[in-house]
Amino acid sequence: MMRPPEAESFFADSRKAVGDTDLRRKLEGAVGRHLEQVEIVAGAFPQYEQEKVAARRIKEEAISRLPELLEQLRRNLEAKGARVFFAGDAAEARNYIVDLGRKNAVKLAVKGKSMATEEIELNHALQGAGIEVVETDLGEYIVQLRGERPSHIITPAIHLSKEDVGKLFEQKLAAPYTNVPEELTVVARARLREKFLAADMGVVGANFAVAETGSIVLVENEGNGRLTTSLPEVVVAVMGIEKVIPRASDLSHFMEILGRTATGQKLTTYVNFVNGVRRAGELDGPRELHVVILDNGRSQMLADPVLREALYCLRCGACLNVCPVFRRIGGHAYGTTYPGPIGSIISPSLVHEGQAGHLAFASTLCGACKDICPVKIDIPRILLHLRWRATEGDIAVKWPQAAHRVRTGAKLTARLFAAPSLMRALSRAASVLLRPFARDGYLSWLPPPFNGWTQSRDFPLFGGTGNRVAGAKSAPVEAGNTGSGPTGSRDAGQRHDPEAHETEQAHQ
Amino acid sequence: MSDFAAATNLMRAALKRAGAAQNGHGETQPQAVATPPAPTASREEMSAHFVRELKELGGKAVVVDSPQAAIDAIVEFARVFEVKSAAIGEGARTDLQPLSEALGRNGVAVFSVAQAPEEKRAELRARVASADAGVVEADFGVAASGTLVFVPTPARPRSLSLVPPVNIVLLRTDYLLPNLAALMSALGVDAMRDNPVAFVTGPSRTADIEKRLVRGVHGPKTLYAVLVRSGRD
Ligand code: SF4
Repeated sequence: MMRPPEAESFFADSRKAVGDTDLRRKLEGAVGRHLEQVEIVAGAFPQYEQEKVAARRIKEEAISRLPELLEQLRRNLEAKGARVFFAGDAAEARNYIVDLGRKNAVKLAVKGKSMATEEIELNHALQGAGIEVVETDLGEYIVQLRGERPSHIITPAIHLSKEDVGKLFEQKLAAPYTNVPEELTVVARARLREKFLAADMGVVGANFAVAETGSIVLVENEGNGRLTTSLPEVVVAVMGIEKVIPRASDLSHFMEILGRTATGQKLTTYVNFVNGVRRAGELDGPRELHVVILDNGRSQMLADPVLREALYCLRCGACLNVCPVFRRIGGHAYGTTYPGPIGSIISPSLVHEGQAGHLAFASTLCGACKDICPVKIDIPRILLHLRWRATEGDIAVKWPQAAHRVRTGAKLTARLFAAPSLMRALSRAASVLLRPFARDGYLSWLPPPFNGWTQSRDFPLFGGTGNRVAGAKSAPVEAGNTGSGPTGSRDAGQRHDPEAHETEQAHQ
Repeated sequence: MSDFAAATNLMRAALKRAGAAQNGHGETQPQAVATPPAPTASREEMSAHFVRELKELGGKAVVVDSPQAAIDAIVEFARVFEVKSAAIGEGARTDLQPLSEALGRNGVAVFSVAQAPEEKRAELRARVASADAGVVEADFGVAASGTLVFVPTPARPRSLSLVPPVNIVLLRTDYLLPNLAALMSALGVDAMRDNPVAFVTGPSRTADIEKRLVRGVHGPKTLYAVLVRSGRD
């Protein structure tokens, strides 16, 4: 099971990730290629802005009419022979699906890409019941083989290179080593095709659920979602309550923006309608179709007029790709199912009730997420709102001691920056005293309480231009308290400071 | 198990308690959404655009003048791509019997998957799983994105455009639409309610390894669309 995301581990993991130049290189390469493509494709579509507004309006309508739309969806699904289950929380959803597997003597379940099933940690539960679970989206398959969680909601293996995947397939699948993506894909296709043909159960998420027609709509590129819902005898779709949209014709607006913003395609390769069970004489399609409608904290978001906007999210992943924090630390450091800007605003409600509040503080509020979001979610505004809620104490934030020091240091530094004459005098003195420690006019170590700054970046020494490109520190010893430098020894001393608070509220 | 009615009532209460969403943009009232006007392109222009789009995605496409020319093109394609076995169903708009026979005469083992009775399902499924190609007629095409739209029924099940590594698709040009919005009205609500509809835009693909594009991961790797000129222009 996933450990609850805490500020302590977030600081440690993100510090480690920032120092991981290999991870940075992979992230920047993949994200850079991706953003280029998005820009080209979106730029060539004159109605892009118009379609975003249309999609936004539909989501506003859908969320404000949520109860009646869900009721309509259920009626229409049941009329086609599907069974609908409402799960108040993750455990209810898990138990329902595990029971279903038991009742149908399921041995092998194949899965389409679904963040909702990650959220409820379904794989773990199914495996516990003796059911083999195979992720079939290539990226998900890769991270499953590695025993990891996805690091991105669209590109789960974005933190891995083709060499990493080559080694993984060599190790786990006994395939001859190659680093050619085409060849790796051929290996995966053959393995997974066997699984598709043998599976008794298919589990998918939902990109949209159309109330008017009782349709679950899956949007994907590989065809694995379509196979997962066409071949097994029992199919389960897990959807958050916010996935419902009023009309089938609304889909065209989402289709026009989703591929463009998520993957830089005019249209995603497959848009699949899952519509009820197999008909008489039909070759394919499930004998049983189940739809699990998942709340798991979402109606709490409904009750917060500011946070409610986060329910418009299409899970396109665009805000992750443009986020300067995500691009430095990657997805895993967040410690949550949903990483990145959208994860920081939904995780406290969805996955870890009342926890993960520290993530609202892990943002520069630069606004890049808001600008790229296809449904124009004002993420910075919601982050500020969550910070406020955290200071009010209705979202718990357990600050580690280190954070306290960082913020004390930051506060003092901020005061110095705000008083130019004092700053000049001090840094002139410092530049003389600290010159022996500097390289290229930058200091890589400052004494406490200023060491919060130098733990992950260098400090410009007086006289430097101060415009050196911000980047990760390459020397990992300075990135953590390894005890090998002055930072380490001082920290060790401070850890026993009886004055230090173990925890504190955010408003201090 | 949570009670559905109780749950939706709680949501109602939550919405009411919170009042209107405060989302910085001002909540918009539900209203009809304006769709971009359908470009008034001719059928010929739409066909050309469709072919260009599909080729850009790594698919293959031609426009031909008659049903017989379509048969000839498909037979030739089967020869070049060494298609030895093919699954076929009933056409959406066209009688596929002549095509099926022509392929048979040219050494392709063609078998029909239209109407699979329960006792024959397992065997037919296995045959589709090992077939070189699936042959199927698309119900609609979308010119703007090179999209093929399938409305699968027991007479033409979804596996045809999904399971075999090669997908051969017939499309009548009078069922080409300029864009998705136009498709939505042409397709109609009933088709989207009752059938496992699929919009297919190009061969199956992935970019999961270093964001590099690879074709044919789970669905068909080779997609060949034959557009047949039909109807008045
Ligand atoms: S918040 Fe917006 S940009 Fe981020 S994943 Fe959701 S829809 Fe995409």
